[in-house]
Amino acid sequence: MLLRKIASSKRWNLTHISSLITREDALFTGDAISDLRTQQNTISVWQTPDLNTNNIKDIIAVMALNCDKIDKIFYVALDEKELERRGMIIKNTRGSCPPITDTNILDRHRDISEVDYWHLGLLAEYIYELVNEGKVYSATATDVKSYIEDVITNNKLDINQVDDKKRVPLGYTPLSSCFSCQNNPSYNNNMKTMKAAGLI
Amino acid sequence: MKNIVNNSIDSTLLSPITYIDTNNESSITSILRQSIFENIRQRIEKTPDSNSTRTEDINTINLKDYSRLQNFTPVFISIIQHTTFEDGMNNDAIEIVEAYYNRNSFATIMWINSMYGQFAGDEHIIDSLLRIIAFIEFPQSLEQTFIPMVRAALSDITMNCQESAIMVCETWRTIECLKALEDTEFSTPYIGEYAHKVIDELKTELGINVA
Repeated sequence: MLLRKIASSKRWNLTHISSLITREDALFTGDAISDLRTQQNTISVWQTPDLNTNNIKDIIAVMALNCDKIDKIFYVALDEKELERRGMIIKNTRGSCPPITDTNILDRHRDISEVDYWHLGLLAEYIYELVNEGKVYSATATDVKSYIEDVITNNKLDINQVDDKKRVPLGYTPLSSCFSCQNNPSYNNNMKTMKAAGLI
Repeated sequence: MKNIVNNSIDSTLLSPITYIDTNNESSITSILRQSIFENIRQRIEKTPDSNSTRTEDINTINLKDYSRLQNFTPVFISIIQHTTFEDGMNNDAIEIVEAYYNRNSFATIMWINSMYGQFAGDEHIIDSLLRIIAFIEFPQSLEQTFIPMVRAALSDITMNCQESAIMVCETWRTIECLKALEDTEFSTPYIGEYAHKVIDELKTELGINVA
């Protein structure tokens, strides 16, 4: 099976669709599609034989390391045969997560490739079905943190490449003296904005 | 409070949002940098000496910072409306609150609570505020002020805010949060599953026997 992180579960939630889209023929929200960002017409997923914690914890750790902060993660498990039945093309491609040094983890990455408008919709429809069948799984922030700690303990990660927002909760000293702002262009832009607004 | 706002700031400045093309989602940050803010800055009174330790000065600074933030509310709400909140991801709204929190924590917390009061019926705004609160780690003593917001979000299953309220509880990890979660009926099975994992963690951490 292939794991895909759900960035925002409420986009997929059938319960609330009528409050978001009132048209009678609504299938799922347009916002749900934004959870399926493509890069070079591919969608990133991670392969696991099953949902046993030992088999998924490295993948969850990678997903978390690609975020800005250690947070809870919702994910769905996509069945490869079902994807193929819906016309998806799955390719083995090494994943990208700079702090991870163990290529065995990165080699578990797959791309759903050659995704066009039609197949993006079909994939969204499949995920939508899973979410509304309750087949969404969660790892709490505590789980995620412990999975990252395991990766560190097993020397699969270079902690010096982990940014401060994640280093500090893991108990490591920050790399910069102002870890929330230094070398962060977005933060600096917002500071300028607030200064201009007379807020600081 | 109201008097200070009205005395210190020209009332025409209270709706800076009217200058913003809300259809343009391409760059909220660049919109915000428009000259309007320079205009506002020039017309807002200077605060007293920020290094002063006199109680009166501290109160004055807090009130002035709070009134500035209140005047910033329409712009901030516009930012929220154009911001995508995703698990574990930072965004402009979070960074603005975090930056101001680092400058004046009391004014910022009062401001967030005032926005909750003002937009209590708006699911997206409340959900966004909760996600901001969950993302920024406030000191435990200040977290208590947000408990009513968290409880309200948990208790209303018609609103789509339960997930973000659980995230706040997961960040705070207090007995109040545990009680609030235990009193909650969850809107979907997967939200319930997530909440029960958090409940189990909190029970273990807080030394409460798991049934």
